[in-house]
Amino acid sequence: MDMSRYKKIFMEESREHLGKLGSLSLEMEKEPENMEVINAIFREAHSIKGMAASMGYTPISELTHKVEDLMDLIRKGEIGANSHIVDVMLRAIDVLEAQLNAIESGGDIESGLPEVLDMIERSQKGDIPQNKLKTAQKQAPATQKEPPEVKEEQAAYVVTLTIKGDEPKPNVKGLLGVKKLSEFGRVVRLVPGLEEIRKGLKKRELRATLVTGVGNDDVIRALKDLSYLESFDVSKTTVRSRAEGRNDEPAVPHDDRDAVKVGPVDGFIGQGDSTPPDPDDADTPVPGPAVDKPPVEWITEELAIEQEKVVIEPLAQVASPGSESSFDEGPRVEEMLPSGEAGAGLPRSVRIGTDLLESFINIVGELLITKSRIQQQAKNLGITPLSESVNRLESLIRELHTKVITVRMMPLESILSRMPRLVRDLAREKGKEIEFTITGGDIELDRAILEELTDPVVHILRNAVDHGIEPPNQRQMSAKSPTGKITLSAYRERDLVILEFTDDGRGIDPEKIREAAVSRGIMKKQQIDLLKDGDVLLLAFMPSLSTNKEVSDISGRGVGMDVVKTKVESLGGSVRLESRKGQGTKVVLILPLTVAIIQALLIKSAGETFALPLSKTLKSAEVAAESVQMSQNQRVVSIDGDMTPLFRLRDLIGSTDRRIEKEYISLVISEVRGKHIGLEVDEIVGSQEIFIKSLGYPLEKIQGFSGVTILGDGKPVLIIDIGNLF
Amino acid sequence: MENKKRVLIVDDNHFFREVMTNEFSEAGFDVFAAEDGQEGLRKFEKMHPDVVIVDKIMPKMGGTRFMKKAQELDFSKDVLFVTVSSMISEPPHEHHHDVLGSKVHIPKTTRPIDIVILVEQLLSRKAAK
Repeated sequence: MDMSRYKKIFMEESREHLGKLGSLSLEMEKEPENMEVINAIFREAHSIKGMAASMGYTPISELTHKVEDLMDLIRKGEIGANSHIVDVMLRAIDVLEAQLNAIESGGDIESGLPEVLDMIERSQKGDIPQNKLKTAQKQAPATQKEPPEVKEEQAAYVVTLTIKGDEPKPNVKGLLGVKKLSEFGRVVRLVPGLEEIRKGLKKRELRATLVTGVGNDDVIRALKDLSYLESFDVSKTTVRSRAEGRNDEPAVPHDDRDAVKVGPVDGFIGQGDSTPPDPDDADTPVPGPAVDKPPVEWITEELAIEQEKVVIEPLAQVASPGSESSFDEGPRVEEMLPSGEAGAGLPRSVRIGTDLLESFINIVGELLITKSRIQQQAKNLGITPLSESVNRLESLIRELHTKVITVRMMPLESILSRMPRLVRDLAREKGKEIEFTITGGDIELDRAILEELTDPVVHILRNAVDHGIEPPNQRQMSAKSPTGKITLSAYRERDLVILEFTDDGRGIDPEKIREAAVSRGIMKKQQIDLLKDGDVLLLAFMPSLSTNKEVSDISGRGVGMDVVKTKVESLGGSVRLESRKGQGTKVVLILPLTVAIIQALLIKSAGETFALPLSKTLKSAEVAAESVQMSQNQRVVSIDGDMTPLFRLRDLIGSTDRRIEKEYISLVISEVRGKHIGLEVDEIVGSQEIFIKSLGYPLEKIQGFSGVTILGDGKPVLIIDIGNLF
Repeated sequence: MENKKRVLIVDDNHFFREVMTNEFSEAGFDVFAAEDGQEGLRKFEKMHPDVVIVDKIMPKMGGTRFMKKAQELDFSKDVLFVTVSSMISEPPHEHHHDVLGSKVHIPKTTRPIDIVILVEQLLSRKAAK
């Protein structure tokens, strides 16, 4: 019987409780007196503890148990729920999260545990630490008392692994090395012991004794491939050889940790049990004050991850004679190592890699293109029945596309849930008081976009905390509430998702940007003075322009907004920046719902067809050539009463084609950096669903095109990135 | 074939309910689950279970109070009450008399399948008497 089939539900449930634990901790900071919150934290921690305990994840239950203790002390009024406690809680949550991730990925589940346990312990004593974290590490000697058995044809090697000095988590790397060794045979001995290695590897060196049937050159070859090893040594060793039979004493004596004792309940007795039960007590397991000392141990199983395999099997096996032999070697190292799930029961849902997901969308895209080609050919050949089949095919592909997209969709919440914590930590670090609210976290986006979105979001929020919101005293002087407000609201608009970040901080001073731009030689003073304030703000997106005189270690060095812009645009979105000096800043990210397949307007210019994402167009229009006027050397036309500047696409893409003067001009109205512009084209062909393919190096270097698609007739068509044409 | 034994699981933790339901169903039990003592009491009265697996800490009505109330009911003397809680740190054990509602105490660190095995053995011991 295997617990791994419950791993998924364990992960889901734990993450949910952990999420609640996070928000409750922040609530605790706001309302330290509210015992409801403390009780709720206790319950959440308790839930995780119970689950982890039955899954056998001792480090998690240990940590949550400590959190319970801490809450208990607060409940009893022995310590106050001060912000230090909140820090400790948040740290504990971080570690718990890392532990969950470690379970998922097979990493080190104990990483960071001793430190945080220490932190909690100090807080319980009311001791606020001065960053000296002592890591309680028991240096236990290796437990083996007797050399392990070796079969005749096998050899034993002592392998010493030295992990490179700059490798993070040398202990994990060491274990990986050991795991590699275990592919060749049996690792019978580890120095330091597995538990010690888990806690951390002090000397970046470990020794493993490998019993194997392969020659040492095979082992050496495999170790050479491990990039994290500084050096290694393989030397043959002699181990006392024993007969095949394992009937005498255990080869590797198991220590208590590994002991699985089966005690007396009728018919539940493992023969040869080291502590045979008193037959008189077989029925009613022994009298005694049971609370501190259990009368009889039915099952002693101190839980450690590695025990997943050394379990009590269903009755028959446990009770069968000679069952002892399944324990006599102790758990094999390869089984003790985190190696993911041992698939027993089939899970009800499966996890698939994002690259596989990515390939789905690509295939759907290719299908779409192929369909267009068949459609085109059917039309050319004039085969009506074929066209009908193709129509059916089209609706199927569309359905498949929708399904694939649904699989790819994830709520914004999945990346935003960390943000309150980030804002809080930054605010505390900077001595600012900030109220942060998020709305619209349930809006869903393609995960490919979400994955790329974390960085920009973090940058913007950091900017807001660091440069936007003023320190409390400064805010009071400008008659603002000492607590600054940052809001992040997300909403959908057609097939776009809008993220608005608003703060009520000091805003961006256009004068400072002007100064910075001039001093960094981006623009000349005379030029920049001609720019309107709103336009000057756009310069904030230039690389290497920071208006803050002191470079802050939080928001970096003025690369922030540049990074945001590049990233968002690479996702097919755009960024807007609005700011009023003294009143705050608003950053708006406009993102497509999904990547890869979009609605586009096909247009012709200079004899070529281009695709323009429909999301970037406002409308198309046809205006009489004579209605075009000139204003400051710029052709403009009145569209719905707005004087809209006109640009010829052929000029923008640098075509030298002779243009044909027409009576009517076809226009696509688009928005570029907040301004409406009219894009003059030769012909508007129509709208179509297109599948974006990347241009690839070096074509992607060409400004103004975001990708390419293939039309039904097999012709490649460039996709215009209108924001970058200017 | 003998009638299926009925087990009632009272635990506020969804994970634990799911796991225990699974394990007991696979072992051939009829399983009922309740999210707290109040619901547990209702189901207890209605379903007349043979075994009750009870968590200690739950909202609305905790395990101890639930068992007290359940034991006021007539048929409860034939019911096996088992406390399974993470508040228990010792290995599974049995007291001579009820301690906080039940004689049998099992820590949550026990593997669910072992809980099933223990329950089966306790039931067969009872049947033998």
